[in-house]
Amino acid sequence: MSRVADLLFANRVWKSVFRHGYPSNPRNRAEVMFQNVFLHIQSVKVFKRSLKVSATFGLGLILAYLFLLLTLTGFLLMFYYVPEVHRAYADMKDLEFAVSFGVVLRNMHRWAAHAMVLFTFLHMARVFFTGAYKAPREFNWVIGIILLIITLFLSLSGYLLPWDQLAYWAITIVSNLIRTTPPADIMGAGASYLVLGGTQIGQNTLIRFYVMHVFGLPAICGLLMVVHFWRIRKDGGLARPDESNIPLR
Amino acid sequence: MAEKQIDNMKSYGLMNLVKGKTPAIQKDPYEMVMSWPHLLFREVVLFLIVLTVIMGMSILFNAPLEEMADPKNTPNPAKAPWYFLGLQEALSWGPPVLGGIVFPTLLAVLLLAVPYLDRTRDGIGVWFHPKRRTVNILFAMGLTFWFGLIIVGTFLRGPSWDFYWFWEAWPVH
Amino acid sequence: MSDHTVEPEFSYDQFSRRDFFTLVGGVAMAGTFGAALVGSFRYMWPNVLYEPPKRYKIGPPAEYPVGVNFIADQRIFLVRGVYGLRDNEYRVVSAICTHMGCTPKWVQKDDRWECPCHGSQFNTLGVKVAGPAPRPLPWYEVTVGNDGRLVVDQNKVVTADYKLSI
Repeated sequence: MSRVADLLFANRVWKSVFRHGYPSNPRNRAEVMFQNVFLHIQSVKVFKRSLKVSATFGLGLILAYLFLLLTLTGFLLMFYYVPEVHRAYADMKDLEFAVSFGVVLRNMHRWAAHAMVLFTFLHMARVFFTGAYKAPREFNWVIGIILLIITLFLSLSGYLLPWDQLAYWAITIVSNLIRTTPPADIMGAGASYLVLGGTQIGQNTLIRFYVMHVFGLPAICGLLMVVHFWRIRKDGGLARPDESNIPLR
Repeated sequence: MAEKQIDNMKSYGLMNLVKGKTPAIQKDPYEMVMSWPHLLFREVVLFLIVLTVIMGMSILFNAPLEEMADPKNTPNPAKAPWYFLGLQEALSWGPPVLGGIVFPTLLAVLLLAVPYLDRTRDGIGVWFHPKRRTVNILFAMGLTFWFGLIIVGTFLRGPSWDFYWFWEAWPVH
Repeated sequence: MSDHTVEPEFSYDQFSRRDFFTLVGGVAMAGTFGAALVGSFRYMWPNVLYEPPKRYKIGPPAEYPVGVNFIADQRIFLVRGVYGLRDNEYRVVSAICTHMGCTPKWVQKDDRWECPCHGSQFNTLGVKVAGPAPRPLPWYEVTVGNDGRLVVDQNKVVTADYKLSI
C-alpha cells in the first residue's frame, strides 16, 4: 500500500503540482489553503460559529453552486441550441426528444435558474435579519443587490430563448415596459430599440438576448461574485456578534 | 480586519473609554478550527446536496414548454416568469410608468441604500436581535408585500387579469 | 521629495511641461475610451431593419363579413357595418394593446376589446373603459388599392370617426 502511495505521491511530478505534504498536520493544512488558487480566497482558519448550519444555512454557497451548475449545463445546451427564430423552438423539441439526456440538462438549467432567483432573495433576507450588512460590510451588500438585479436579468434573458408563447409574451410585456421609461419618446423608445434591436421582437432580439445570456451577463455576474467573495474575506468573514463592540472611525 | 482593529485599541495607556470586553489573556480569543478539513468537508457535502436536489427535480419534473411563439395570438392570461409577477401585478393597477419603472426603481434604490440608512452597530451577526426589532419588522413587511404581490399575480389572476380565488374555476373560452 | 519642501499652489505660471503632458495624456485617454464606448453603443443601434412594412395590402373588401374581423398576420381589427357603420363602410384599428403590447380579444357579447395581460378594456371606439392602458387603440387609414384590395397605412393614424365608404 505505502509503496503504491509513494509511487503516486513521492515523485517529482506530483510534488511539482502540490508543494506540500498530505494535509494531516496543521502546517500542511494551512499550506493547502494558501497555496491553492481556488482555496486561497478562503481563510486558513474559520470561526466555529461560522460553521454552524444556522449561521447562514449555506445560502450564499448554494448560490455559488447554482451558478456553477448553470454555467456547466448552459455550456452543454449551447451545443444543440441555435438562436434563430425558425430553429430555436425546434431545437428545444430536439433537446427534449432527440438528444440523449437533453431533457434532463434543460430541466436542470431551468430549475437551477428558478432556484437561483429564489435563493438570492433568501440570502438577502439572511444577511438583513442577521444585521450582516453593517460596517465594514456596507459595500458588499450593495454588490449583493447588484448581483440580485443581474440574476433577474440573466433569468429574463434566458426566458426568451425557447421562443415559445410563454417566452414571447413575457418579453413583449418587458419591452413595452422599457418603452415607458420617461421621457418615453426619447429614452423609452431608444432603450427599447436598443434592447430589441428594432421596433418589434424578432431575430435581432433573439440574438441580443442570447449573447447577453451566454456571455455578457454571466461575465459581469462572475466578476462581481469574485469581488463579493473577496470582500467577505477582507471584512473578516461572516459577521460576528463581538464586532458590535468595535467602534468604527 | 478584526484583529487589526483590536490591535489599534492598545490595552495600555488610557486613550479613550470603549465599551467592550477586556482583552483576552492566556486564552485563545477566538474559537477557530482549520478550514481543511472542517470547512471544506461541509462545502463538498453542500455541493452534493445541491446537485442531488437539482438533478432529482430534473428527472421528476419537466420544464414547461408551450407552443411556438405566435405574435398573432396572446395567451389568456399572459404571465411573466414568477419573480416578475409581483411587478406585473403592480403594472395592472395604474399607469405603466408608475408600476413598471418608478416602483421597481424605488425598491432597488431603497435596497441599495439599506446599509447607509441604518448605521447603528446593534445586533451584528445575530438572528432577529431584539434591538433591531423595528427594522426587521419593516423588512419582513417589505418581503411579505413583494411575495404577496407575486402570489396574487401567480395564483389569483385568471383570464383578462381578473381576480379569482384559489377555489374558483377560470371560465372556459 | 524632502520633508521641508511645500507643494506650490497651482498657478498658470508654474504649469510645467510635465503638467502639460499629463493633461494631454489624460485627455487623450479619456477621449479614446469615451469614443470607444460611444462607438460601441452606436454599433448596437441597427441601421437596417428586416421588419414587415407599415403600409400593406390586405384582402378585397368583400372578403370580410359584417362585424369585427381579426386580421392575424398584421395584428389589426377590420370593423365593417356595425357600431354606426353601414355595410359598405370600413374602419381599421390596431390589435396591439397600448399598455404592454398584448393582443386584445374582441368580446362580442359585451361589445368591447379585452386585453388578456393586464385586463384593459376598450369600447367600440377604441377608447379605454377599464384597466391600465394609457391611450386608446389607434385607428389606421384604410383605402382601396388600384387592384381593388384594401390598403392599410399604419403610418397614418386617423380619428375614430374616419371610415372608408365603398
